[in-house]
Amino acid sequence: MQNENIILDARHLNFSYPDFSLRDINISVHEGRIYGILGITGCGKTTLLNVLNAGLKHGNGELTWNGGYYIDVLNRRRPNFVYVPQSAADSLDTISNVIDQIGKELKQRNMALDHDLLNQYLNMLGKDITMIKKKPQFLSQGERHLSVLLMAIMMRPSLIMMDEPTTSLDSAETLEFLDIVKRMAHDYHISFIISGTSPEVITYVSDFIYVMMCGMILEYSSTDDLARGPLHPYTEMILRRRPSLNTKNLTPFRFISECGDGGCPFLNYCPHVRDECRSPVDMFQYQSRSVRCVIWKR
Amino acid sequence: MEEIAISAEGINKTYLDRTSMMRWKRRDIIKNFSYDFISGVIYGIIGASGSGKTTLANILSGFDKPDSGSLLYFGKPAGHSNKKIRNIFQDTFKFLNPLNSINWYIESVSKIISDRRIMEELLYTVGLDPKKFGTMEVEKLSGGQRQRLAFAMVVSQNPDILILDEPFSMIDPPNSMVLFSVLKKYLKGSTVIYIDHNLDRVAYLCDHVIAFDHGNIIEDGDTYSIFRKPKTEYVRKLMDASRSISSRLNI
Repeated sequence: MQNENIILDARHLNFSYPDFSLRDINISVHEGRIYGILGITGCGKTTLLNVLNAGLKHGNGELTWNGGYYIDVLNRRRPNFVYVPQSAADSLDTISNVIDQIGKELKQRNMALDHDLLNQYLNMLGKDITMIKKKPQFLSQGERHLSVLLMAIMMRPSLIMMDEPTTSLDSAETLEFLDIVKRMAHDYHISFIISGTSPEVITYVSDFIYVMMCGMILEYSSTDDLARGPLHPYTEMILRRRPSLNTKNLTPFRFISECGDGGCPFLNYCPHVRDECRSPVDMFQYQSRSVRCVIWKR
Repeated sequence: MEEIAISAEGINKTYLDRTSMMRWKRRDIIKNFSYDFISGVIYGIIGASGSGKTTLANILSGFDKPDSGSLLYFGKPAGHSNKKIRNIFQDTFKFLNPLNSINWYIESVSKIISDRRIMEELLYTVGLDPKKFGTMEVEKLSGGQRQRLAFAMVVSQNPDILILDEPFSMIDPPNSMVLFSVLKKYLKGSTVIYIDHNLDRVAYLCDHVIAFDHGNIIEDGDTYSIFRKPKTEYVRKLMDASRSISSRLNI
């Protein structure tokens, strides 16, 4: 991991809404890697992506961007990344076909539609040009998601941030989509940040995972380490207590909805809770991983 | 002999798609669907997106009328049955008024049910404590909170038939596991028809699985036999995809 390959670096990011806040977020993104943000609903995944999106656009002291810039139609210098919100696939324009919409988006970035590149990408998606000559309402749900992904990569960004990209897809479409994302990152060195609640999807696609709860990052490690042995009890709960055929007889946790005041957000549910957990917990390093839990304090 | 909760016979549903200014194309969503849903069983319906699962849920719960075919609820046509049929859909704004508060819903549901504490207890278990959230209006709730409110309202009425169409799409896996166990605890003896494209959730909740493709039943059997030994290529493809996605977790 060399320094020049870091394209996005966020240090001590804080942000608050009246009733919700992100606290002390540290994230760095290397070129060509896929990062997953895993957490239960309402843990601040979307807020974090929105903050990164807005912060990059307007410049922020604690955010360093090394991913290159493009010049938009109004002659402004803009960082070269794409943010795909959750509903993107359902909000395509229904009155024009997909290829025109891709051209229109590219025009915003002062780019012309490169047909060679388009064919190359379509080849990789395993799709024909007829797919994008249709209007979005005549495409299947999976094809709509692929169209949005195609639109994003045609802008040739160095980073694509996607918010829960696969929630409305069935398993075969999800697998196809995730494989394409992995190939993009590998072959074209595009970095991805993908958020989601599903541990299956996030562990399948990503190289590194940030685990979030209540606006805090509780654990960060490579996917292999995380899947083999989660450090934080919260991560353990997410990875093990998920509905499936094998867990049919497992008794579930209590419903998780509130955050602990000031201390560890998981303390009301944690089986290993102790007094130290009630005051703010720092990030601890454990080998190449970090975890915000006093069990791993040395 | 077991009682039949819903008996569907020869259900057909066709939509017309506009292909150009003057031309319309017929699209058969459900073709000759016949099935007897046995009382007290939790059914799961699986299928790729666009296979007609949602249309079927709409028809079974009476939101949509089939073009032909008959539907009997406990042997009687809809409207003549005294059984309670309830549903929760993905889009909860279909039956929640955004301007009413949670307390309003507790009041109105407790007029139907015998014990109002059941509703309050359910709300508490699903993380919407009435003491804390009671005065909140529905429009201020998040998508997942609305789905949980709808869930508590429906389950507290103890329906005979419950039709769920992706009811927990905005709720994460560990919390949806809690909701599934609440469902099993409160609804003993009810017929549940559960529709989801997430196979893991179907496997967890359901006793019996129906695989659905282009409006036809292509496989039908108990959960273990379908998930362990799928007979058709279509179902095997869905299972294999689902298994590959979770491959890194099953070490």
